[in-house]
Amino acid sequence: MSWTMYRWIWQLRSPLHLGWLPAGVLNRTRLYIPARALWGALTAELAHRQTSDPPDYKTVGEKLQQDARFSYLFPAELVDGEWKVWLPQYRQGKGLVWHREDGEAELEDRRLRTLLLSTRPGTAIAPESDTAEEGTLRGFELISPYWQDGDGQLKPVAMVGYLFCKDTPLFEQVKDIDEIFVGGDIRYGLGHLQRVFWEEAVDLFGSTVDLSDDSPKVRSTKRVLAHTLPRNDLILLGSMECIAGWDTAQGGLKKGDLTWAPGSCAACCSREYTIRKDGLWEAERSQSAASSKPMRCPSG
Amino acid sequence: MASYERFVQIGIALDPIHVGTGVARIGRVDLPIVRDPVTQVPKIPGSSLAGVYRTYVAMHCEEERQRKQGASSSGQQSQGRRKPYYPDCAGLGLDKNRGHCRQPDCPICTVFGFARGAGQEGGFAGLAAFTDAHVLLFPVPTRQGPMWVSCPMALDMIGFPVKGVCDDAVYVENPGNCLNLGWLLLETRSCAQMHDIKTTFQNLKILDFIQNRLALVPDRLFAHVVNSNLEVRTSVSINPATGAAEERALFSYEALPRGTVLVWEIIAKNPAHFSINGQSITAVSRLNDVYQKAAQAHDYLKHLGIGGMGSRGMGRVDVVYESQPVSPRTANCNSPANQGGGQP
Ligand SMILES: [Zn+2]
Repeated sequence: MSWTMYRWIWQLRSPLHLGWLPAGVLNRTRLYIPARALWGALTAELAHRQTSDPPDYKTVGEKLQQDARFSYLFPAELVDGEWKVWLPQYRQGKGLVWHREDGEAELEDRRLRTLLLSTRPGTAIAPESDTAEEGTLRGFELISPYWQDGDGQLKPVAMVGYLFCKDTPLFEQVKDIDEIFVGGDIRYGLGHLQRVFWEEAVDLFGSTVDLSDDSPKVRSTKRVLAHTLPRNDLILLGSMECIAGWDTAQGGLKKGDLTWAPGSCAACCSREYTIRKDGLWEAERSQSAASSKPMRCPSG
Repeated sequence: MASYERFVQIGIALDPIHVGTGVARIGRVDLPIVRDPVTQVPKIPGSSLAGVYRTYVAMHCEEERQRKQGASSSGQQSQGRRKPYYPDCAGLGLDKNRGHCRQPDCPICTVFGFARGAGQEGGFAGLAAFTDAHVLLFPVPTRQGPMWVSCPMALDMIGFPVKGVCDDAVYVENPGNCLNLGWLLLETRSCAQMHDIKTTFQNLKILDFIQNRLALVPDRLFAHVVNSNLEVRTSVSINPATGAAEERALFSYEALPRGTVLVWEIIAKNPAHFSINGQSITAVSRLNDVYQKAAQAHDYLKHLGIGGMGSRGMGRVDVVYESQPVSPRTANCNSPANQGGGQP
């Protein structure tokens, strides 16, 4: 059974916080939505819609992993009525940069962060005294629902990625969900996303995709756009991050994997990557690994 | 089975409202209020709303409990304290002895959630979520008396996207000479759809005198109009020994003025889908119960208010509309009335 692939675009209707390493009292955010967060949000929503009893997250979540896959979602801006995505890439000598899907623009990481992020301070109020509670001052970094270009016009922000599905009923159920709540502090109105675009697609951010195998495979790409498992014959230029997560349906903390961060870039030739059930990417065995010699990361 | 439901709330400021940033001194104001970082329009963060709702619902439950108890055994109000609603179930609740009770039959802990205390089982996010409260209509002095100003971005929040408000002008029902919004003098334009917009506001229970004094400006002007017409008050501390002003204790603070109309949403999650420590939630059973429980705070909001400076008579909000979203529709200020109302 082969996969069908869709590009989907989720517009931010409120600020978004995607937990990352904190810096002091500042809770920082990622600039992208990991597949796992999306899977969690959709699992919850699908499970809730199916039952009036305690939902069966485990069955629904496993079904969703079995018959659907998700790419990470990356931030996008609206340029002349078209959503243009910003994608991460590590560059030799430059570190992490972001470049726009259409190749028209490139920004340093810190520059994109100033355009996308805001911080929100907060304290808890003690009800006895109606004053700020000691030791509760903290800051939240948030992805804003508008770009902070400062030219006076409000430009919306969306998160863009791909859905793979191989089960028609499941596809219809997922398609029915046009509003989700993702990330941190949802109870304070954060993380409200609305689906504004949905279309069958043939490539993933410009890379061809093999949809005929057990899992979808991203073909011939030098750059990974998800956390990617390391292997001996995979030489990337980039950053490594340990990914662990809570899975209450599976009984607690899920084992952490040391992975290449999104944007890490092959130091040698293009590779093929499988999109796994958990959203991580895994490199296929390289056919030319033995013969190819390491090269610099391309600048384009 | 519905997973959640959104309830739109509209409130009118009965007093100036000061929800501070916790940061002192920006420009000429010592105590600024929270603004949206991009639009620069002041707002009340959802976390502030959530905290205030929690406290007031806890107060309400405590009052109810005491009232019932008082009726059955007079004068024994503090005896047989069954559940610590207030202040224990209000606030952060991390205090070891007087923290959140964390019980599935507690209306406060189930609706508003609780944190995981030291040595305790996991926390609970709560069944109600609160969005930021945004300015929907903002009162501005003009030479024709006060007008209530809105913009497409704000109307979008009540499911009424308006098109065609683009020029540097103020869009009104009956245009004429230029109109000043505070110090800003703008040409007037006609908005053919003002009647539809008024009907929408009528459905949202917004008072007649506001409906009859509507003005629309483009999004980019809205922040200027709002920020130029905030209430800035100056205060000084009085030294109790001398009864005179304290040296160097003069300070100023800004606030949303009385008459500002705010919109926010309460998102209620289905209690059937959640459990606390493996036990079903019994305090509330339906989506609507979750919302109704949260809405018990509204009487208190009207009298005790939100934000800082409560002792200076600030912060009271009258919630005039408590319901589900109005059905989405659109208006185009550039098209005649009989052609509007289509999809964008
Ligand atoms: Zn409680």
